[in-house]
Amino acid sequence: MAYAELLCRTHYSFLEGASHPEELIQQAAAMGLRALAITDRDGVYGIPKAYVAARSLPHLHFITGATLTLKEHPPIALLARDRAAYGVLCRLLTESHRDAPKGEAFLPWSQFVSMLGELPGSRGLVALPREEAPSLRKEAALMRLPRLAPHDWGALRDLFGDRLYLPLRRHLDGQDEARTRSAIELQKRFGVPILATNDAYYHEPSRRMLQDVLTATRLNTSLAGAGRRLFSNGERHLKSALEMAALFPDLPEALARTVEVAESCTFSPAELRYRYPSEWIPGGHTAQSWMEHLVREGCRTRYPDGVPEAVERQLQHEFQLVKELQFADYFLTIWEIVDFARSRGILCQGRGSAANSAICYCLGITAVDPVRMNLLFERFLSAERGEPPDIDVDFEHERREEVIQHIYERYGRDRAAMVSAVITYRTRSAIRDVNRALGLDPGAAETKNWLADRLTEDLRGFPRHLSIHSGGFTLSADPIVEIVPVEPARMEGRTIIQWDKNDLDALGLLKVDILALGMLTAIRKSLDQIGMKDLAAIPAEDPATYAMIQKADTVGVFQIESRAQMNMLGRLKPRTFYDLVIEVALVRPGPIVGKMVHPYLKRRQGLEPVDIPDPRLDPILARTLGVPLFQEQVMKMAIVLADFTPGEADQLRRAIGAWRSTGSIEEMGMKLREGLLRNGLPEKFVDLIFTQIQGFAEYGFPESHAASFALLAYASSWLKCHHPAEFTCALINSQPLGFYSNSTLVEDARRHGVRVLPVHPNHSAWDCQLVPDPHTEVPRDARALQLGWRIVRGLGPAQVRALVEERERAPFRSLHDFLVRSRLGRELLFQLALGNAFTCFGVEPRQALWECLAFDLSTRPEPTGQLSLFSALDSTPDTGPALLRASEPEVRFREDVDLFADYRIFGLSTRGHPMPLLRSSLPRLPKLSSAEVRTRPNGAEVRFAGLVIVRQRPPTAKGTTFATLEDEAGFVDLILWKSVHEAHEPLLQNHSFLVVTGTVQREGDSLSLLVRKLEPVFASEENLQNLPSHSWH
Amino acid sequence: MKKDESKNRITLCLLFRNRIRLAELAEASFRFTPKIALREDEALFLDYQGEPAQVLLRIRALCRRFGTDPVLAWGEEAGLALARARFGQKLSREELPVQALDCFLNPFERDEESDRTLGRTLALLQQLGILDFAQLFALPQRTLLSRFGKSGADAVLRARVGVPSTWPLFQAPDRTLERAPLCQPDTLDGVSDLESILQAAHALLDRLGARLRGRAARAARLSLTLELDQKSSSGRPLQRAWNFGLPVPQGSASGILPLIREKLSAELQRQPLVRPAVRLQIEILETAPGHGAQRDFFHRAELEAEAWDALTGRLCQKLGAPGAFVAEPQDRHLPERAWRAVLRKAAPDAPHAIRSPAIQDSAATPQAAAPVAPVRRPARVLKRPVPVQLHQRQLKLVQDNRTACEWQIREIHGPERLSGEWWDPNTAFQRDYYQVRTESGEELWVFAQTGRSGPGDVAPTPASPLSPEGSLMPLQRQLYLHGYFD
Repeated sequence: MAYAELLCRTHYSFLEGASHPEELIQQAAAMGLRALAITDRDGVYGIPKAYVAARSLPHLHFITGATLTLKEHPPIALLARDRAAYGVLCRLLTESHRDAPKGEAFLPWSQFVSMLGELPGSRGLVALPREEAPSLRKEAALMRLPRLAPHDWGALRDLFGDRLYLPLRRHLDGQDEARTRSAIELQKRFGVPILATNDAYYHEPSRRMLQDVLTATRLNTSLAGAGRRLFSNGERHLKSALEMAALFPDLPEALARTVEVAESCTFSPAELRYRYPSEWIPGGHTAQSWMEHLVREGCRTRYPDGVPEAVERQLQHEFQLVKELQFADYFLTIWEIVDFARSRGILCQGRGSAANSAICYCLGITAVDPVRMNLLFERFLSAERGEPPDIDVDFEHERREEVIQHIYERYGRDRAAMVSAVITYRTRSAIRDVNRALGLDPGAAETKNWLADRLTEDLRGFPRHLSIHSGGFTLSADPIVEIVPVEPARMEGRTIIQWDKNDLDALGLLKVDILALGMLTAIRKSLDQIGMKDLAAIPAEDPATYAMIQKADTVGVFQIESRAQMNMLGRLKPRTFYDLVIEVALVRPGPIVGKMVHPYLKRRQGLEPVDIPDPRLDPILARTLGVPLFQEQVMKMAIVLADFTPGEADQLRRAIGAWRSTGSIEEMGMKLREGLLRNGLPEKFVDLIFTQIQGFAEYGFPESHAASFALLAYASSWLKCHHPAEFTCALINSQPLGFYSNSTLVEDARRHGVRVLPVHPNHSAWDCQLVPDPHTEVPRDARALQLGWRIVRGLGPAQVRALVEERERAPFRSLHDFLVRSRLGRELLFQLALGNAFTCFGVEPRQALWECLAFDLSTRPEPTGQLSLFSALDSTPDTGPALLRASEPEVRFREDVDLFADYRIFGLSTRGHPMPLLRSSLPRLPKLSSAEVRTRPNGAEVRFAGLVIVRQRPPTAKGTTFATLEDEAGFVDLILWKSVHEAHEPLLQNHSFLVVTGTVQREGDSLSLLVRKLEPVFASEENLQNLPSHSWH
Repeated sequence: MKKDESKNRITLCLLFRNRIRLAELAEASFRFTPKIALREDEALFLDYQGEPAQVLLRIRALCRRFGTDPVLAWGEEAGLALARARFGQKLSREELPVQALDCFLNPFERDEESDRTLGRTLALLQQLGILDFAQLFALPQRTLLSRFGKSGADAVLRARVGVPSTWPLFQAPDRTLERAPLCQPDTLDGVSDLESILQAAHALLDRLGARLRGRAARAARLSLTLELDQKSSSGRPLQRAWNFGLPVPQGSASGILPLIREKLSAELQRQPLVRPAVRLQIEILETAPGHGAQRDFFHRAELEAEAWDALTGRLCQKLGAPGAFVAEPQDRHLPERAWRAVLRKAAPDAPHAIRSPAIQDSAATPQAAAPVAPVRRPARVLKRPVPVQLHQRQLKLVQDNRTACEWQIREIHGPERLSGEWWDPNTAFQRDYYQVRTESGEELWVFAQTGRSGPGDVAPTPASPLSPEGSLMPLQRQLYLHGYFD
């Protein structure tokens, strides 16, 4: 006896189905079903996962389908018999989403009919009209969907002919007899054969509870409130042939028919052959030949003195592999996008494993020479992997949209779409919805009983809705809507496919990640100011730059500006580019957990010998002093010393990556271990390798990725070192990015000799600019950093545009003139007055504030003018009213008031750092500056006061907290053990100014204070808002 | 009369030849429109939108209840409606005689001063040979003021262009009571027999019902007072009075009268009237919200609802409050909880609503109406399912060790598998229900528990009742009788 279940929904029928696709496939196979069709509502979201699960189950035939919601008609499930039919199904689904609100779909009946008539592949679709579940009838009522009336069967029969079946379910819901009678009558009347189904919502009976919870959630009510909109029993699970036979003893042919239909559906997602876009290939060329041609052209730029032999060998190897795997189009697609960006002067750079490829380097997609870096191509692409490479490209974040629009324009919306990301239930949201369904407090942070626990556990990981992947695009030579349905994203102007990046990988489809990187914007802006063309113009291996890096003077620099990185810089002291590569990779959870950091540093500092147990490991490990720091090194060891093929080595790398989630690396790990031992490596070394491998599982960087990032780290360091004004200007103009606030960036720039000018009504633009330094004691061509209006809180670009237009008519002559012509709101004017913006008119801040108030009163008289004056005062910093209540408006504000006002309004001050003022006005504060602290020896006890700018508590730090205090001379890093942190946590969290007592800890040039005690500078910092600091946990 | 008048908003006028107490009739007329005005005891105006022909029929039927037969007319504004009621319902504006002018000046109120002034105007018009509005409207407008003075000119203007007047607010009487004299048809003496009293009560209840209906209310408590033909020592007439609390609010005489009959019959038997009764008074002391369809005088649903109320009211009175109730469907699969007993839908602020602790008042715990169940359910459901035994094709109900009932099974349909409420251990259930048809023609609702109540427990798929072998419920499971299909 055989049976195939042809109607089944996964949890990708959002908030309806209660099982993962994999669970349904596994269960169907375990039950011995002949076939299983996945027919989710309005999409093929779960098809790739189901397909992958079914691949290893040869006895289960997997069928692709979907349920289409129709307007003016009940829904219809459609099964794809062949590839063409699948394409039609995708088109139908795309159209059903096109004009519907996000998250909904419906296709007008007339359009459904006409599409079936026009699209040739529609003859391969099998139609199974469905009934609406009771919980969905409310929505059906809202959409005015009628029950399937007899006369509609006639229309359906005309449309589908002998591909139309009448699914009959027997759910023991008291309507089975009536349903059967009706079905038999329809069968007689219209000749539509009956087909047995259980219309499954979950894979096993125990999931009934979760399905009820999903229904209640969808209806936004509790389980009790859902009433009879819940199913009346738990019969909607996958049933075996035996169970179905017991339900349909009178209709054995209905069961047999399921197998017939299943056997007619031969389409498999494996047939989704993919053609990359290729219209730019000139005549006379194939994709491969054109790619090679472009690579050769690129070689002339990359290797002006001729292509080295090693590079040529590498290129030939890569050409061969690319040709074999037919991926030339993919590289050309990426090249086209990068070429467009370059033509527009948009800085871009490939990252990740793509930097392992010489082709990518010569095509200009990546910026790191993989041969010189001795990188491993198989980390990027291998025959064994069986999937396309994955190239991620970073673009300037402010101009990424131009690239996205170019892609849409070039390929069209039917050939380019963004990849979706499935937003799934996390623990908190699962607890909330489960609690709500059970009638418990949805705001509770945890579940209250075993039932809620179990439901929460089941619900975690369930999809809730689709979102856009941050930059993933899929592109196709053929209309993408015949490969996967496309639907509108929530973001205006964006469309997404119904699959995520994992699905694309599983099916071998192209994905391009168009990512945004703020530092590229900042670098480009810096280069523009300096007059340099691109990154290649930056001199390599500049000693001054490395000297600056070694001193950990890296505020604002890419990747190496965090406190942890700065700490490492003082110990590692990078001297070469590869040192930077290691620096970038080393401060990561991976190497820390893998216990690689200390051995490497000790060897680098000469504190222990560089021990490489086998000379065959020299080329692999010498550059990391015998400590494997990168996945690629393990891969190379596997190839060289454990008899792995490059493809197997890549599989080993993947197994390592999956180790964290699956907890096992048995097969590949055993093979590696055996191979290394077989080739004579000491067991102790092999054990160490495995410890370090575990670290890789904790997010190690690929070497190529570290190299790509190191390039940007070097470039930004060079810019900071040699052009600090331009660099700081660019950084502020590219916010938000990086680790530090504008205030810290400005302070750092000032320490590098950059003069910073405050916001000026007649000179400032929206962005910061470099202007001739007005001070006479500097060289004539010196430039100062003129702060832009963008730093003023509450001021927007439109307002600034109006301001600039006004002043272009004529500069502002006086404060009054500014007040009249600027048309800024009074709150902004008050802020600017207090923020010293009007001193250029010869008006001190207090006087400026009076004038603003007077102007406001004269232009907007109110009955409670007097009250509004004082209410206006109350809305300014509290020092304002106190001072204004003094007698003369000519009295100046105190300097500290000015300074703190700057911070409140601008987030920084050009008057200087607050610490010198505080030290002079508060005698009890320690007088030591950070510069002086840095001279203290190891173990010295110091007391130091500063502004907290960073608080961090990394998960790998086992409860230790790191913080950084800043003063006018620089930074001091703090280490707080868990007990110290717990004793001072409120102080650390709630105060920006702290006095620290601790012990100096030195390692190389790195210095930290091991904190013993914290004290506040102010009893209360209520009035000190907007002081810049970050807290990351 | 212009045809398009019927499509616009119109004013209906009921002109009474004999002065009557219009307030009660006006109150009853609220069922047609909220905008009502009186002209003392002479005329009643209703602002109405719709087909006048339909509403006039209903108004006439209502008036008959109040023993009156007014002249009915309508117009675009109150003045025109009153003028037509007085001088001819079918007259057009121009055809009205000039005597109709006073209708337009202030249709809602008599004003003696205006009347005098208008009287002079009318005399003048007659002298001028102007007899109707057509001739009046032909006069040059600029001469009206000088000729007829302000009142006259105003009246002409209003008559000509149909200026609507301000409607005075009509307030319903504070008390909802009706009185009627009781007398023998031949002697005019008072009455002592119950039937005469009830006959008079019927008429009063009809009027009271009409008035309540106007306010979309029903009577929940009332008093009946008989005034006797003898005075007490203080000089006041002797009275007998009774209060009636209605277990189910009633909106018509047919629902209330039987209750009055029953009570008075017993009371007067116990203590007959010492003197004949000469006056009857019935007052509604407490009301409850009425039915939704109550505004429509002849609506079938309203009649049905009133009949239903009358029936349930009588049952409640007979059986006591817990004995009779309305089963309100609930939105649950569990049969025992798929309904709840509701006594009556009392108004939230009704101070004297009868409440039984065993029966929930739907106002206290309102719940959305449950959707209609698509599956057939028994007409009678046992409060508690009772165990039954199955032996071959016989089903037996055994109580106290003896067979209380037994049925021979003819056929079985099912099962309907019901399970749910797994989140509440007190109500979690898992049952297979069967419809058992017996040789004696009864149809029983029987269920078998299917394993434990855990929702993850897999109940065996039962043999299909449609199998050619016929079906019997599995013997190894305990069966319960839960209801009867009638």
